Amino acid sequence: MNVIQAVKLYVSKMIEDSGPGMKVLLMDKETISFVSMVYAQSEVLQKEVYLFELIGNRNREMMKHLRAICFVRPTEENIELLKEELTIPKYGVYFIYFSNVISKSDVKTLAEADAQEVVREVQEFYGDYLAISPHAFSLSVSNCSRHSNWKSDALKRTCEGLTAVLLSLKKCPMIRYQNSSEMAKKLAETIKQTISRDTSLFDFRRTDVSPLLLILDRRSDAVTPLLNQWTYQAMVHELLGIKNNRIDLSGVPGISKELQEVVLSSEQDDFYAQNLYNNFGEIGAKIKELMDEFQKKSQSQKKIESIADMKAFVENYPQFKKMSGTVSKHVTVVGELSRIVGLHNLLEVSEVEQELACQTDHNEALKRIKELLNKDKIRNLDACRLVALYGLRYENHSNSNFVGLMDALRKRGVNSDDLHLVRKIVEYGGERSRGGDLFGQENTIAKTKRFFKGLKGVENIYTQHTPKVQDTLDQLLKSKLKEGAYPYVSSSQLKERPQDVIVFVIGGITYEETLAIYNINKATPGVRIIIGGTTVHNFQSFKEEVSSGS
Amino acid sequence: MATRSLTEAYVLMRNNSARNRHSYSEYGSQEVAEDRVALVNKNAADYYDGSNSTAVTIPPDWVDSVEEINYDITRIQEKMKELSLLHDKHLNRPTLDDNMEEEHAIEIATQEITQMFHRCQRSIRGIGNKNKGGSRQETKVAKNVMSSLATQVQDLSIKFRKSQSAYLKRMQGREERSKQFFDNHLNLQEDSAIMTEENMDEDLIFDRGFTDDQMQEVQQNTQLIEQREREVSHIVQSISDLNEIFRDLANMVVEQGTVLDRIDYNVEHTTTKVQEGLKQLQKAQKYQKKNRKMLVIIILTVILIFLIILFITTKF
Repeated sequence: MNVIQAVKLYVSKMIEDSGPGMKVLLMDKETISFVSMVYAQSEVLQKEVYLFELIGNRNREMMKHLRAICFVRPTEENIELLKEELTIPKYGVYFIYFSNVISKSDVKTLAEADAQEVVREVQEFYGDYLAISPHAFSLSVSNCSRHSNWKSDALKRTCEGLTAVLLSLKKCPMIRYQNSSEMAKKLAETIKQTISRDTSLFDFRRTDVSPLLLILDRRSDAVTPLLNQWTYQAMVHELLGIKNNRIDLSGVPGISKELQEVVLSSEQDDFYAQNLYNNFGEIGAKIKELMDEFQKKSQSQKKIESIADMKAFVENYPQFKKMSGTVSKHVTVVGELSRIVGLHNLLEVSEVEQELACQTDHNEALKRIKELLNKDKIRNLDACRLVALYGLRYENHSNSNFVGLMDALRKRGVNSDDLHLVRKIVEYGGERSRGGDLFGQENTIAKTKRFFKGLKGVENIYTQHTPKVQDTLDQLLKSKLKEGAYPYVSSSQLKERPQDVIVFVIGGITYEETLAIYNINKATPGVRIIIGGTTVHNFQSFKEEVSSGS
Repeated sequence: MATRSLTEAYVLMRNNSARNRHSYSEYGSQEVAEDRVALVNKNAADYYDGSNSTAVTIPPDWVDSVEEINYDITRIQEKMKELSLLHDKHLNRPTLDDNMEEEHAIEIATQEITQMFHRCQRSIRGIGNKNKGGSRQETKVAKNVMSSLATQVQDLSIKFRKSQSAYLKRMQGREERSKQFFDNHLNLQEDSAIMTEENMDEDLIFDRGFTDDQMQEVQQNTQLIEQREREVSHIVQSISDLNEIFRDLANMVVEQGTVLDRIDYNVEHTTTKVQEGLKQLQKAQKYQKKNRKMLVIIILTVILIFLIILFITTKF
């Protein structure tokens, strides 16, 4: 149950299968990011793949001495491009791998175009998703809904992506979905249909406890993407934006040219792998440690007087060079994060956000929001967040002053689009559409739990909030998840405690949730959970998702 | 990791379609009048057009050197194994007789490996030179090949250097130990000499110098030390030789974990480059169309004609 490993295996297998000799890897715009997420170029170069090309690139040259590995999604466009490619082949032999199920008629089209018989293999390799970390994946489908229902192409892509995940992990799961969401039900049924259409494909060795696919809807927890984050990965995504593990730093003042775009990948960067779930304070300390170590090293590098020094230098030079790259990268990123935090008073904002999400004191919260709204240093973006959070939290409170806060926003000069959006978010994640108990108000057990938590005091006021998916999974693992709220698609039910769980969130996941899953996996031996979503959100992308969705 | 192979179905369909095409073309030729059939099939002509110059279809020259380098790399690995065996033997099982032969073998092996490293480096460099006239994509392939080979050679050279310096350290350690031993030995003798000296005359002590035995021992020691020093300097030489290779290769290796090591970044980068090139080309075209020089010439001619007319009309 490791999605990065799964995609890696696919890629290395297709390279291996094509035999010795120089190779070119042909991909489309989507598969190139799937591959880039798991393999660095230098790693693939070691496997004799010396050229990387997009299949849509028409000015490729004729190079008959290369073997071509095509890894593409089975879309109409790609079939057309492949057909053209095979009529006038540019490379010696072709090995074609589709990232998903392809129809017989498409295979026939290709076979007819292949008059020169250059194709050796045609296979389906189900690496059809972005593997973000070992336990998290994304389909990079943004804005998947319209009027609270699926866009048809988004549904198709999501279904394909999700079945690819199942196939690559060799799981034929029972499916449960969130009853309050029409979209979840639709997706669950579509997946079920796809599986029953291709039963031979999903015929894996039976395990004692059958795996479980749990389909949720973002609407049930609109709070999580609204919050400012303080763990490294989540924070970078919230403030700078991570796109396929790449971060665009070109907007940072005084940035040097080679750091305008950096890669944060836990596969190739040990420091990042160790610290992506640490919070901002810990990161500061870790960076300090790294710097000290680096300085010690660089001092020893400076004095090269004797042969022994020279020898030591050359021996350690590659590590030194790698380390200096890592240090400058992380120092830049963390420096930029702390600049943004200071500039926009994010600590203060976040404190109120967390209070809103986790505490119950309405008057206090309202007072503090009003205070913050009067400050100039606060970004309009954060002001909107706060009001939206307030709206979600105290929607039905007797003294709710949502309208007053909206007025305050207007006075701040927030443009009407954003004002509209705040209303939309409240509508999107409001009680009517979420159909679950997000803040633990009705449930007495949740109330007492929170009471005890309050007595103990919180460890860190900036990370009090736990995403709802964590509670849902806790209940699931205790077999307490209610059948009514999360029904099965088929009639059969899981009696035992589930072991392998794949959670899919329609409308996107957040890095806070991947952290939650990571913690559950670590805390409960014998349970393996993977979370995925149509995309990975920060507030910015969530805003777009909401505004296009309604 | 589920997969599904469609190759069989594909091949079946391909054969079917080939058969169809064949029979279809036979039927076709019967219908068309004989003299109207082209000697060379149009499609076939297209195909040759597509792969126009033969230079493109034949692999570039440097492909051979890639194989050579790969062979060299495996040879280096073998040799390194041999060398480390020799090192172990030399250090762990010292023989009492003069073990020059062993040392000689080590020396030769070390030199051979260093030479092979040199050769690899030269050949990698050679790929770049041979490819000078190559097209854009060929250059890209060559660059990637170079970087991949350089990474391999660099890793190997690091390994080699580590084993060399480990050997060096152990050698030096042994030397120091032996020095200590010999120094003590001399002191002991001196001590005993002093003991006996007391009975002798004072001027005798200064005159006496070393005994023959001691002289021989000193000579042996110096010989031993010289020999060690030679060995050490050989190794140092090979290390500094490798230094050079190393610096050279480091330029070709792309550091892992940087954006330059991302597949998608590199591909995007080339496409933007191509687009930029296109823009430049369009600009150039525009400039050419404008053709300012021509405009200036025309204006000047017009002015000239006007002036001549003016000149003629005023004169007459």
